[in-house]
Amino acid sequence: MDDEALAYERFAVSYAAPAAAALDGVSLRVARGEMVAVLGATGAGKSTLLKCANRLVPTLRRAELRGTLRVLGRPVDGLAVHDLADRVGFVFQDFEAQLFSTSVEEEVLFGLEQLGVDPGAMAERIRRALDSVGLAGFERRDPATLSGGEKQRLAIGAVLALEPELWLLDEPSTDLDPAGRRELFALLGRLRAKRGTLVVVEHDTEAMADADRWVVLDRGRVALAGRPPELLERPDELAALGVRPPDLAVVCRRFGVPAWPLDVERVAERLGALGRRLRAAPNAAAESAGEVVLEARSLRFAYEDQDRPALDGVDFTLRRTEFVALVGANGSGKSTLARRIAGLLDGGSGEVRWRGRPLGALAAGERAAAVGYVFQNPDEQIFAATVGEEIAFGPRQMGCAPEEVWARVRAVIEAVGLGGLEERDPFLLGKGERQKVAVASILALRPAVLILDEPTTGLDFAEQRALMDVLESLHAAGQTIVIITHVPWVVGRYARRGVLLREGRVRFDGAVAELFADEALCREADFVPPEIARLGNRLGAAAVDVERFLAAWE
Amino acid sequence: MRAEMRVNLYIDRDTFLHRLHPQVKLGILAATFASIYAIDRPLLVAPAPVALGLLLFAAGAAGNARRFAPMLLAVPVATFTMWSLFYGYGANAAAAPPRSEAMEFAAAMALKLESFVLSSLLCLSITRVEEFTEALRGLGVPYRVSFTVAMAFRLVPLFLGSALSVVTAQRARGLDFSRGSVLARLRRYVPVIVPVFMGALRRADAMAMALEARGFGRRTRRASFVRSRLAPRDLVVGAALAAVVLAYLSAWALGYGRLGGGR
Repeated sequence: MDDEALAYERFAVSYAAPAAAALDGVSLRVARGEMVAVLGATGAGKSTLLKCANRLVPTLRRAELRGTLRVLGRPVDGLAVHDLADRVGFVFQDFEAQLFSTSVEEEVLFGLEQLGVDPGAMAERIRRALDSVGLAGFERRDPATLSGGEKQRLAIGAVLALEPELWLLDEPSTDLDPAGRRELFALLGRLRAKRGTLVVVEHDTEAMADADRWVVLDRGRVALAGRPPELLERPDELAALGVRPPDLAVVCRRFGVPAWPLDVERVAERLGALGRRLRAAPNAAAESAGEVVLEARSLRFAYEDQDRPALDGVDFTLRRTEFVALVGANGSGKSTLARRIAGLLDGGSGEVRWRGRPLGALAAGERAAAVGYVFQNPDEQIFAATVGEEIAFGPRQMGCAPEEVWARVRAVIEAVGLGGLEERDPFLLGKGERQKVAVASILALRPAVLILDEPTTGLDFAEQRALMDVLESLHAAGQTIVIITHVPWVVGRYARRGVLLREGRVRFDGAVAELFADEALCREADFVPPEIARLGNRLGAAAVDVERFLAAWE
Repeated sequence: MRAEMRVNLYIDRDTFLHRLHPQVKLGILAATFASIYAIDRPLLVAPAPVALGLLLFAAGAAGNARRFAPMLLAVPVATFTMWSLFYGYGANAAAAPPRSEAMEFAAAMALKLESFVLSSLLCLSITRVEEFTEALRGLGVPYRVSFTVAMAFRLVPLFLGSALSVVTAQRARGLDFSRGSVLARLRRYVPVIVPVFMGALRRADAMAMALEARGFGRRTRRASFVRSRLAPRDLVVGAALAAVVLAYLSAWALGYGRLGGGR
């Protein structure tokens, strides 16, 4: 048992309120020095599995636990969360909520003080921890001023200073942009190299390809477990369990070549050896058929306290029925541009015209009918007691008659697939459904252009597909759509035109396939094209998603 | 990216004021209140806002003063106007104070409130939240209580930021706060208050988990990193503050600070 870090035996968890079974007879053993990725759909029990191991469940969330759980070789029954804090480190998805100090140094210091570490050793521990997470020199910075990736690294540094033997990471990359994700996964690699034991809940299978083991949960049970090279040969099973299989694994499976090692260059070699050729992929070119509805010229905008302008001379034209993806690193100006063209951000210079008229000259009702904006976090707008009332709010604000209000509510509920949930309390719905409520609330205003800020954040693969399929069907019905996203496969699968921003300037504006083909430009702007596109580039033909790649392969 | 306004007031500088011991920093706040609270003569109160203003500049916190300029202007103007109109209101004609006394009292009140605002602003500009915890603990306040008080300071800016995001999100749905009667406008805040409140609950829940996971609430020995030791400068400043308070209290006891019957 000496090499055992974590052991669940016929372990079951039922929450008290709302009453629900989260884990149902899980048996799983993690050895010291092992890195295990826990995968699965929302509600599969992944977070619960982790939170039981440091006693967040049932200490802070009441639940009934059955079966056996040993952490670092010892049973944990009756222990409180803080009793395990020096041996079990926990990193949360929401990096904002786990930082509560006013400087980087104080953040790391907090845990050391709580655990009663010798004050004489604290400075050295802080130095070592910040050095390990690449934040040396940041000691006096206010954590609020760090980037997302830096915040998550600080959260890890604050845990690292406590020198835990076991790391539990609950979707640590979900809220990060590609640069932040790269930093995070590099850091996890370094922790692993030091023989750290890591259990990581993660949706990104490509990032977890180097783990020792994958464990896929489904409705509280272990549905699939094994080494990545074995499970990569079963992409269909992964997809059926709500896990997005890596693009390369799907392609390799289809053509009967081994997926491991999961590397674009190696897979390209293996596919190239088959002797088949890739014909021009049937990618839809950037659409330019519709008339111009919105035109922005020379937009400049700077936030208070920021040295660099958020927008630095941006021109942007939008035509009717386009599906545009705004991409680029955090801070590149995507959200600022989107809010500026939606009329939600005043100030700065430049001009936005809606069908030839200055956007600012439009009455509030006209503007709402021109551009609708769905914010990233649906919880920043939900307030009503029922889904129906929530969606009815916007049309009422526009002064619509009651019959008109409810006709619109019924229409958008149908359009986004929320049928049957009209009387449900929106606060009690899952994140995917709450996001649909947010989309429906804006759609009810019947905007000519729908802008969505990172609509898939925090959703699992199935929920992402469901939401994006709704947008695709709206687009097919003539809706003009602009999305801001960091998710490469979403851009490839759904958008037709890509606009890449970097440091407040447009670096690329054109067909998504052309954007993906220019890997050097993408790298420079911290955007990573999907692996399928990179594979296509190596095989001599641009491909934006797996379906189109397979269709192009003779 | 959120269009957030900066709501944290601490200015990270290495000035003489920043280097003071946290308890001495709280002492500046306490001394301001203790000195001028009972003084009604504007000429005696006037040195306080002037000195505090100079200290704000010395602390490199002029930016905070600029941000709060509307408040720093509105507080004394409104206070002076109110008290100059209502001082002695209700007294019968024979006992009514002379007009000049009303003006003096109003000016003193305006200067006092201005001093309290400036003193608070100075204290927040030079003191980290963690120093507040340390100062309160040094005064014998239990750790959990002092941590909670300091945490409240930390959370206010976060909740304000969240409220701004919610207002923008609801404006995007056509919510207009400028139309209708007062009651109608108040009702329009429901779509803002509910998400902010729910978000606060969610954040509190997440924060509680994060705090516990890093050992908060452990009953074993807590250790304290020594952030600041009492230095000679603290003793000098402390003595100066005590002298100022003593001087003002003596002046008040001798009747110098009072209007009417006082000297």
